[in-house]
Amino acid sequence: MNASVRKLGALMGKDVTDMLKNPTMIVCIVMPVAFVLLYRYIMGNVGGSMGMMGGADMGADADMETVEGLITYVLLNTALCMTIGMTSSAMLVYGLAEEKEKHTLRTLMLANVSAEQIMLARGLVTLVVTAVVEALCFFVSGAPMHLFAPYMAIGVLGALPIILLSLVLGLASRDQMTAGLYSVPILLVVIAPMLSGFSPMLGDIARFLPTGGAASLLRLATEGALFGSEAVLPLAVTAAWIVLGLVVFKLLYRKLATDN
Amino acid sequence: MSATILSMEAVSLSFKDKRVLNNLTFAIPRGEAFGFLGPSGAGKTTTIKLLTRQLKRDAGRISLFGRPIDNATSADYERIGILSDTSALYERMSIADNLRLYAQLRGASQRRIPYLLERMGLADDQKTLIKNCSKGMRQRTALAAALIHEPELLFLDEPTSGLDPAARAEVHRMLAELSGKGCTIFLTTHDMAEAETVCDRVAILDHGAIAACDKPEALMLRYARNRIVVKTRTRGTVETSKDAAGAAALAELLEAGEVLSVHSDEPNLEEVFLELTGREF
Repeated sequence: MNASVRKLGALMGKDVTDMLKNPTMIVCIVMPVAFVLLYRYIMGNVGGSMGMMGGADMGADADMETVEGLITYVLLNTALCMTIGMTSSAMLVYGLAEEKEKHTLRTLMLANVSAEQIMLARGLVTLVVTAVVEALCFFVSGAPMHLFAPYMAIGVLGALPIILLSLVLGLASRDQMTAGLYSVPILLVVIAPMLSGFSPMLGDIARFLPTGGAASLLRLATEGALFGSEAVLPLAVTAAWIVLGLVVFKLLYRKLATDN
Repeated sequence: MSATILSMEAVSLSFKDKRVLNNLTFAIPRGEAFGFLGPSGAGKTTTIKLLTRQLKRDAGRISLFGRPIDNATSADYERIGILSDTSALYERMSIADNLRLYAQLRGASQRRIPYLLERMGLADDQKTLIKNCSKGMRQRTALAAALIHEPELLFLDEPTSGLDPAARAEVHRMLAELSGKGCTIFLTTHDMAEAETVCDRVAILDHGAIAACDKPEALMLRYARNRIVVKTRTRGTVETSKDAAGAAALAELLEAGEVLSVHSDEPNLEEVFLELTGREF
């Protein structure tokens, strides 16, 4: 077996084993699912109340469809933002910071493992776990199944720039304390599209943030307009953040990988 | 003569304005156990970091397996095992799982794991999580991880620190076996007894420079005092010199039936260090 593939497999196995035994990581995995469950409970009650107020005429049916579509969007957007914020970002930043703090990163590198291999393994494991958590959130949300494939594609795409930036932040963190400091601002940026309903100005800004493109695509998907011209701008925003993430990662990881 | 595996030639390093290594020169042939001795802060760990490319030198040449270290490839580093001062293990994984990880990373046979666990006295504790291990158990696990792929060149930074005497003796036996099989060992320690036991040759480092480099017994003989200590029946301890006058005095004591024991008063390595540097450990 090729040495690089062998090492990548070993590192990914280690990352999964370690993650499943780490309470911080478990919280990062469970939180988005718990949030979606809570939101579904709250939103379900809101939807139910609106249904009772609407009566049974045709106009009320149309309103109900709009409300249900909106609730589905809010739930899926919450799922996407929370998963990317907690699983793709916080989990990754804390995990790498712990490796630096406890010198296991240095020990791996002294065992002839390259920084590239460590980053690739971490990134891949995080991407897979993100997809699993996103899928769990989807099923918990009760969203219609025809949205599953577009939701997963948007979720994975939206997670890519955050994973790249989080790898850099994880390497930049000296310890888990610093990781906490770095994680909070990135979490706020990631969940900004969740809060965009509170202010039109915030909504306008959030569209251009790392998860803004994914949130806009998700809205189009719930409205059945994902393959229209309106999808071009959010796709471009997401692509731009992926490219930016790659550039930042490429520029900084080598310098940061040689800890202190 | 065996091929040189590792060498430094006029290597220097400064941190900002402070010179930490000064003109280091040595060469280590295949299969030699080479000790780098000195007190804390003498530059031992810094030297290992230079030799393992964790730091870059300011001046001089370093060669690894006969090639300049700057040209060393990943394949060269597969032939090396390192136990550094910060070697760390995954705390939420067991001793055996940590060794399995390093075996997989190094492409070593998993069959090495039971052997190493047995030799390190960890067989009964192999399922213990690292976070529940004592310092000595962690050190033995880290050493086993460094040995998992049977390296040709082994860097050991204070390998027996934190070990009890029995574990230390076992590690010394293992190092002697490895050296006997042709493994080259670069060992730093401030334990002079360990250096005398394990090393074929030692370099004494003082303030970043090599003060002396030779076989332990040669160093001890070089700095031997001109003194013989005789314990007698009635005259207490008598000191005499290693010359004709001393021989006459000793002969007189022997004839008088006074001699209980005779000792040639060679210094140990610690005393050699004191002699060389004027500093105690």
